[in-house]
Amino acid sequence: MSKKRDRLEVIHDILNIIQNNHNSIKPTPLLRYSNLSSQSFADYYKELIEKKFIKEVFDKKGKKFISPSDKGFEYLQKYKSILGFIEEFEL
Amino acid sequence: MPRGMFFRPEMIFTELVFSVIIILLCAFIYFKTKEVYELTKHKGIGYFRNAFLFFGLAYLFRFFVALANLADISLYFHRHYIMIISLVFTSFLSTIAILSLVFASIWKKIKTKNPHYALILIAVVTSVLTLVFGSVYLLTLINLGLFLFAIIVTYLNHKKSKKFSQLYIIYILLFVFWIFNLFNLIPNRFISFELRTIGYMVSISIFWVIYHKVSRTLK
Repeated sequence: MSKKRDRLEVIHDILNIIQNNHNSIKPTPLLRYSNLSSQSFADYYKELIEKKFIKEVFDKKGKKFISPSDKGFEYLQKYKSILGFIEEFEL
Repeated sequence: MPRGMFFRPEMIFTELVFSVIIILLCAFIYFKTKEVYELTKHKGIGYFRNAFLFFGLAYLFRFFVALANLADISLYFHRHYIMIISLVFTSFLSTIAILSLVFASIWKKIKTKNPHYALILIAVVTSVLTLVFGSVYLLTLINLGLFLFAIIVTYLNHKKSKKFSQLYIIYILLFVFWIFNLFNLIPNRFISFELRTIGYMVSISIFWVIYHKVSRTLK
């Protein structure tokens, strides 16, 4: 059985999915690829919007897409050193 | 013949240099972890950086206690009050620092919603005890008790882990030398200037090792 992902890992996975989809994805496929329950996804989505890790973009037809913000890219870049720090200090 | 402002200027100088280096190292650790905390809001990182913020402040007020010990201020009244106020702050800040470092490693197992209230409550109790008794002895004993608590809690938390924790040893040394540095404040102490200076150098080395680990992982 795979280990339950922790909060930081889930955030990383969500941002990674968006980045791997040319930095733009609709909410429904994001929910599907993120492997989370609808409720969990809604909670993380709300958190990521509030913390400005992702932003909602609307196309000409009014369809919603999700893109990472500068803060989201920064998180992805620093994820390895964040994990290294947590492991080093057993936090 | 009137005495100078200080009994022993070389001690004041040593205390000053020691305190400035420790406070700077604590500040470096605190600010180096700012970005990673703001990105993640990770509770463990939050407690970790708070521990060093409060250790830095505790060392600042410890310096004031040392200054009041060594200064020859003609009005005893002022010296006594400076000493007591600094002791109370040292007690409060060091309690929060020690407990924050413990919380940093056990935060996942804490079930209480707002554990920082317990932390502040314990710090207030230790400060009130220090204020009532106004004794460095008592402050040292309180910190020794907290130190034993910290050792037991972190040991129980890590005993299942098979790998040898180098960090555990560093934290033990950090606490041991904090208590040694408090013990140095006790008036008419019998620790020689040389031994005290060696203790200060070891304390600086411990903080340096932690700072080095932080800057290496977060470069």
